[in-house]
Amino acid sequence: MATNLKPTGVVIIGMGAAGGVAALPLAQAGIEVVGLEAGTWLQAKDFAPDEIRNNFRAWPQAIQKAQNEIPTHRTSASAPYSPRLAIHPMMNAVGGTSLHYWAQSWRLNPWDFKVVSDTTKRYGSAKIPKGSTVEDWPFGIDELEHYYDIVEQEIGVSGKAGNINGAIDNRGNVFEAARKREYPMPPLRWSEWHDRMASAARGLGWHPFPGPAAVNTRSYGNRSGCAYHGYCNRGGCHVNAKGSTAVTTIPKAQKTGKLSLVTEAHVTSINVNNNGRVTGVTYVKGREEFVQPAAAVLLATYTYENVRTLLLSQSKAFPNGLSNNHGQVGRHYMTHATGGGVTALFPMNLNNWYGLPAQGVAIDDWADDNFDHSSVDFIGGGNLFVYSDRRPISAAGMSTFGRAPAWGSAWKTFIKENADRWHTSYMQKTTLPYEDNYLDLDPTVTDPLGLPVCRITADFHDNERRAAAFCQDKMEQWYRAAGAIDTVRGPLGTMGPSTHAYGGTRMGKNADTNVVNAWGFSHEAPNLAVLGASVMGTSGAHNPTLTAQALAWRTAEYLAKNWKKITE
Amino acid sequence: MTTEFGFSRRELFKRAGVAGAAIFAMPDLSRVLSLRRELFAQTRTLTPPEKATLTAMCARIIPTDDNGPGAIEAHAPEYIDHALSGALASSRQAYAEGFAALDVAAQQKFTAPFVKLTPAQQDAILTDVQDTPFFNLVRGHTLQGTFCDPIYGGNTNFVGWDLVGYPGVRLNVTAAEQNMSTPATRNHKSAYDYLMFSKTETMNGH
Repeated sequence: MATNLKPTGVVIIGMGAAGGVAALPLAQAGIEVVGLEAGTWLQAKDFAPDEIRNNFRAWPQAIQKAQNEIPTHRTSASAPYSPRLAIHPMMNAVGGTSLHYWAQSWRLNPWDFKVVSDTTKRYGSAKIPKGSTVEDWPFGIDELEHYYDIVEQEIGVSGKAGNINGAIDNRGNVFEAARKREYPMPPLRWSEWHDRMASAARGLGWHPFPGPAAVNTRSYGNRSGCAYHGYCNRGGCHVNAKGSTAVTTIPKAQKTGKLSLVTEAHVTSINVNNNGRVTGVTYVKGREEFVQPAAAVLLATYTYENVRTLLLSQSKAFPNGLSNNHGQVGRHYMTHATGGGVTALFPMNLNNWYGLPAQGVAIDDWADDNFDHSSVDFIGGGNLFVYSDRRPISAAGMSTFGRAPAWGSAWKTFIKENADRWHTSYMQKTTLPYEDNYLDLDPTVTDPLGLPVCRITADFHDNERRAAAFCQDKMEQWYRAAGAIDTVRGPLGTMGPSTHAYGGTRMGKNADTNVVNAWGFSHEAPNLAVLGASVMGTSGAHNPTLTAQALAWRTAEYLAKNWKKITE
Repeated sequence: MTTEFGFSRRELFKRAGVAGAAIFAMPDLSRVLSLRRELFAQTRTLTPPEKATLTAMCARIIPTDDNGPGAIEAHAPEYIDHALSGALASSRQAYAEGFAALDVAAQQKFTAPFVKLTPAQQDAILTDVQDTPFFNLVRGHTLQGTFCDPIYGGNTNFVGWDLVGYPGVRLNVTAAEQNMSTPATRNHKSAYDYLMFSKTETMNGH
């Protein structure tokens, strides 16, 4: 039998990038918070610079919950299953994947919030791809600026502003929306490699700038500056320079005495009463089952788990899953089109063995609606990013550019000369939501508890493919301008499990097409909110984490300010 | 306290004694590390004929040649043999089937098992199968065993890192060491030469 625990104010399910941020404004408002986390605390000793552990194993020292729930994928409802991923892209730990993410901490651009209205105004409504379910966000970026600013200060973001209150500074991103102040810390340094790429971009008339990162460039609070030692890609930080919520907002929330954190808690359902109000959650810890009653619940797992947890929480009030009486849970799924990169070969060593993937040169000239789309057959675009990050196994696994076989003495000669002479760009392209891209429960594949895993049915459409090819053209042009002697294009791939997964619990004013309202609360269960990129209705062309965190703070603050209205 | 191999440090020393190695009055960490690597090499998954076939494949994928040591000196076959009982166990069956198929191909083309062929004949067989999932599995694991952190039993004496020019693990890197014109010098350091990092959890499941 389940043990009934003492009721609390708020339960947050998942103490990762989003849940870990939301705990702080609630705790600071004096509200009792129980944070349920499937993983455990990890520390500096767990963060060895080890490519096998980080990049070829599923972080064996972490709790392997996600690893047992890897979503299945098919490109369409009639397509066969894609091969299942061997490693889940996300991890379970206090701080979640913010422990080992690249830590690129971008604000979205203004267009991302107004894709429908801005596109219609500039190009006519026929420019919006057929079959897309895209809507404008319920607010513009101006609404989010305040929350972006708070989170940048709390987790510690380094970067260079390009627009402070309308004053444009071309050392930063000239395309960004107005910010009220400079980043808390200067950007990560550039090496001669970065300088070479920035100089080539300027020669093309583009606007290079250092990408923003939740990585300290000097001591910040009680945490050190970055050591540039590498292994940051799926690696934890041994000097706590990376602004994971495990070393920023979560310990700060704990100091208020209002956050009670339960680790190794595996949530199996969110409970509701017959009036459709959430009453708390059920979780398993060890071999025991617990019921934690709460006045409000914030669901902050990850896009796939948010959808899965809602669909698994079936009741009289919500027979098709919690907050799904309009059939919107799982709809409007997107993953960033991050495949389809370009790999370049240079005639000299780049010395990219150290540094970190957030230490880079960004180009926003071809992102969003930052250029005229009148003569192209797509909307949106991509952020182009080159960076410093090289590890020995992946270095040896480099493309041979058709210049050598894939093994044997000739291959060995090739990699001996070229292992430090190549670079692969990171390009995040706009993805739109479509009618036929969605998440649901897999009819046959289950986790060890016997609960169905999330199933992804999705593929890129023409708009994504055209934007990707356009960005590859631009990237090849940039590499060649910097002296590359050869380039190859990577495949775009498809929309299986991703670190940049969006939608499924979309935010919007219309309850017929969205799961949560403009504040992140369910249209159907008034004391349930959803946190994370699953509420985002567009992908933008930049990493989602900072936006998910700004939205999380905003939802939590709204709950604290409207406590009686929401919980009584 | 258990090590990555699932036995205690005391037992590690006991085994070291059985194996004829020195028993230390004071634990010398570098010796303990090298002892751990030796014990890795003792973990067998494959049958002797399978191990011989794997070794022959690795020797052709990253050969020992004018460019120096290859997969054999790195101990890539030992890395794979060990990992097939742990983190790579899900590939065990694919290896068994792949070796059998390789010998069938060798018999058909040259009327001898793969290990009995000349290097040129072995290259001909591997060229025939180089687009198969099995070959790519072995190639990928051979790269892991040649270029991994030495704690895993491969990249012995840093021969893999020296081949590609990786200067070694550092915990702090200066701006100059990141520049193209002033690269860092080779330090031949493993992550686990820095004692702050836990070896126990890291190797769990290996």
